[in-house]
Amino acid sequence: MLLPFLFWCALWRPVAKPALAVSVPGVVNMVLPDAVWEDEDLRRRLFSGLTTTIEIETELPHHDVQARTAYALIEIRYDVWEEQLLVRTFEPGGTLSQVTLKDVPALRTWLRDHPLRLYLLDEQHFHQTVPVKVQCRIIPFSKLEQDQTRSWFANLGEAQSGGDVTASRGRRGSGPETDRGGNDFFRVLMTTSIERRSVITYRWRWSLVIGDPRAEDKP
Amino acid sequence: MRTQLIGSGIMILVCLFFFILAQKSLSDPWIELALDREVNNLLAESMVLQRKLSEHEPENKAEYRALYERTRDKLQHREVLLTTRDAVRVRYYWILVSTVAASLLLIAGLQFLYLRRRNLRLQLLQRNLEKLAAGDFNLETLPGEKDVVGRIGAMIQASAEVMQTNRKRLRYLENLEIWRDSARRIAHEIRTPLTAIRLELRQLVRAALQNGESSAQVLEDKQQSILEELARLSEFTDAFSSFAKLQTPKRKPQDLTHFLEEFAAIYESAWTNMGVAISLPPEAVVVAVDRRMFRQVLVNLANNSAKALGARDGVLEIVLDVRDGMAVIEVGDDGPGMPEEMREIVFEPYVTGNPVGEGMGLGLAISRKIMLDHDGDIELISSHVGGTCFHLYLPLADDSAGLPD
Repeated sequence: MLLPFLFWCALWRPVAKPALAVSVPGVVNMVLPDAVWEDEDLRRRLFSGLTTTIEIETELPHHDVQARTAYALIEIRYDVWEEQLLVRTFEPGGTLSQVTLKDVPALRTWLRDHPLRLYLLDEQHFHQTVPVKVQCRIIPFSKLEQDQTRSWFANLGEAQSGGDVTASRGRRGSGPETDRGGNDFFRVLMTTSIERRSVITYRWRWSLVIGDPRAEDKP
Repeated sequence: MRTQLIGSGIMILVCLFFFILAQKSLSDPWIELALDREVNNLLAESMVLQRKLSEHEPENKAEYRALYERTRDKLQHREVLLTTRDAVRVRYYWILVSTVAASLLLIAGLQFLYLRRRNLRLQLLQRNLEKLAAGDFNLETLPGEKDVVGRIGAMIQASAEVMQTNRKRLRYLENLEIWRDSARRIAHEIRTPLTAIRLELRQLVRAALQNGESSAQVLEDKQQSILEELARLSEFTDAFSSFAKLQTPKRKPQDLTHFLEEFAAIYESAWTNMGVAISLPPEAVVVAVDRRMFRQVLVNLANNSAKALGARDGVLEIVLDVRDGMAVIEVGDDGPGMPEEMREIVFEPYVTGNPVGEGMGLGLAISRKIMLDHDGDIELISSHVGGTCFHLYLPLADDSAGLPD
């Protein structure tokens, strides 16, 4: 028990809590802190060819249980051919924006200029202090890529036996029937194991005074 | 059983441990090989090169672009797999370990069931052996299996059958011997008076033929002699009749202390070589007995003791006690005891230690029959050079109501 704890302490890098703001007519906005983009692992992932997904879950008290949580999404993918970053954001209320950027500094600038909308407040939040919980998860690939990979893996055997050009390599129709059982088992195992999981997770909490045009950060 | 289970558990854990070691050393290199990061780097570089080539050969741009797309897809799949490699590995191990563990547990379960079944069968063998030791040949049937336990069970069964046959044969031979002895006694008992009667008749005929004056006195003497022999024959047949026509006791509540006091007083001087001593509790001990028949039992025992004493003097000691709802009458003498071979069969008819011509061996058989008819029993407690001791058991009566005055 002690060793994993010490290991975790050694790896832990605290990230400064970002500023939270409330804009008219009652939207909670946030700009991701610079420390997030300075993470080496994230920078490497941004150029891996996969769509890095930043999933932000915001939770505020609300009478309606379903309205307590809101999700915002940033998808970033580097296009090697065009040599540019394709960025898409999904915000509460169904807002979708898409932009192409040259590099990471441009991305950071764009995100700074366009704070992410996290939560749409309503009247029951106004003129009071509410606790805000934000959880930021960085997932190395998108759901589409997950599904595509699962599908590719699931159809790998069929593609080989069907004479797929790239997969055959002289093995067309050579797969014995007895191999299929084992392959099927392994394929099911692999495809069900391909799951999107967060590689980095940040958790922040605020006590937000609503009613003021600017958010106040109270420790 | 517990030791075997612990042993099986340790064996399973050791198997699992070595399996994981072997699996890890076999599977890890293959996963590393399949998801080699250098391959991904090469694919990424080839994508860059395809883009550059398309700039140099604009006429082939579409082809390079298509190749680029396919490489990108492949790289994307490999990157996804690489990212989820640890999850795949963990799941792979879990499934394999679970499969092996389930198999081992199944084997252990089957082994447990087998051992349990064998244990039950061994217990059955044990019970059968205990029955055999107790002389009970009604053995439980062992389910037919041709393993070691089954074979041992069959051997025990066969031995039991042989023992039962031998025991029946032995009992038959013993009975035969008893009957032969009885026949000899009966023949002697009948032949002796018949011989005497025949002699007396001859002398009677001779006297009648002589027709002398003294013939009247001779006839008188011979008649007397013949009548005595006939009385002896009659006494002999009465003994048989009393055994054959033993009546149901007419039981009445009786204070046993009072009864035994009376018995001692009446029979104190009945035997010339033996006195009677009694030891009684102060309170009344009420039992339901047929006085006449119970007295017969005591007289039989006393007669046997007096005969066993022979020429020497002795004492018959009668002690009354109450135990577990039963009146226990201990009847013991200080005689020479009975032969060891007689002790087991002493209550069987026609068993006697007396010489031929001195009793038919029916006394103890009749006594036991009487005691059993009283819902009690008679038991030989000990018999050795210091004396012989019998216990008579009689159930206590419910109350003292109806006691005779």
